[in-house]
Amino acid sequence: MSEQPSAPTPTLTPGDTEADESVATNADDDLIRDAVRTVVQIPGILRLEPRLKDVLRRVAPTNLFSPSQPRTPQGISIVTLGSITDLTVDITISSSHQALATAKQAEEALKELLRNNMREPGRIVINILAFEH
Amino acid sequence: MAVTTDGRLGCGRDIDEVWENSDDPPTDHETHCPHCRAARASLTNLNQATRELKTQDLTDPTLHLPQELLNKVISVARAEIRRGSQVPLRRTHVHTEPNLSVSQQAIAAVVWRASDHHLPTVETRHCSISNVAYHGDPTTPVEIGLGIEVSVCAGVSIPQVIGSLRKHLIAAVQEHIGITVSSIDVLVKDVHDV
Repeated sequence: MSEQPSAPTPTLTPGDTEADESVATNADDDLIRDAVRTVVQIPGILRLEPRLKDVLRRVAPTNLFSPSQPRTPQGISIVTLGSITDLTVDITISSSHQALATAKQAEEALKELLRNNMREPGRIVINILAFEH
Repeated sequence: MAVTTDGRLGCGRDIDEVWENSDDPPTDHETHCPHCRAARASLTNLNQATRELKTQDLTDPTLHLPQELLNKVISVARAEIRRGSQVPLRRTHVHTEPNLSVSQQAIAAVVWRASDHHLPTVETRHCSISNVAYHGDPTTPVEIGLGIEVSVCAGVSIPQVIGSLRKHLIAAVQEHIGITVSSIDVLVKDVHDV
């Protein structure tokens, strides 16, 4: 069965010069807060999980990699270019919930959140780092 | 000090040789060779400057992290290493990076927990994940291979208990993770008494 190539998802990565030109706004802060709230309300998701980059970001006086990026809570990062927004979320889930189903639910919930905020969902990354019993 | 592009001094010696000997008294050649003498002097200055900078860094309070923060950084770094790499949860087309993933540690936790059901007959002692297949139709499950090392109770039928363990692990990973275990390599490493 041949695969139909899908339309490329508009996305960008940190370091992209256009992303570096994006300006952190209060709207981004509000969006991040709403994204955190959205994610932790999903059944099975216990919390956002800090990564090493989150801890190191708090050590630096400014965001050394992209000064225009807002300082985000641990476990979530946002990259915006125009109306396209990428979100990355690192989470711990309950062992009573299936990883794939929970990740899909989180992905859809965040896409809906972005659309409701007049943003075009770019790349939504959900990393399940741990289970807890 | 004449140095060629490959680090050779004007006398033909490699500057790395001079560097290696810089803490020891100069050799007979180094004593009389103007190139080597100049190189030693420069390297000694560099060494001294490096030591002073290092001492300065060690005593500069603005370069020291609070212990609590340092502990946090180390703790998080250790947790990241223990987690291993991320395993895709959903297939993607060849040139698309997966966006949903689960850590190897989380998969291993499911394996350990499922293996506990077979205690004390079988003890799982090591688990590894390999052969992750995640390119293709996103509606078909990701496939992984598991490698486990076990110890079995003396007197049991190894094929029977291992067969039962395999089925249980495949079902557990499907249920809790949502991916398919396409192969389980089992190494029976030990025999134990209950």
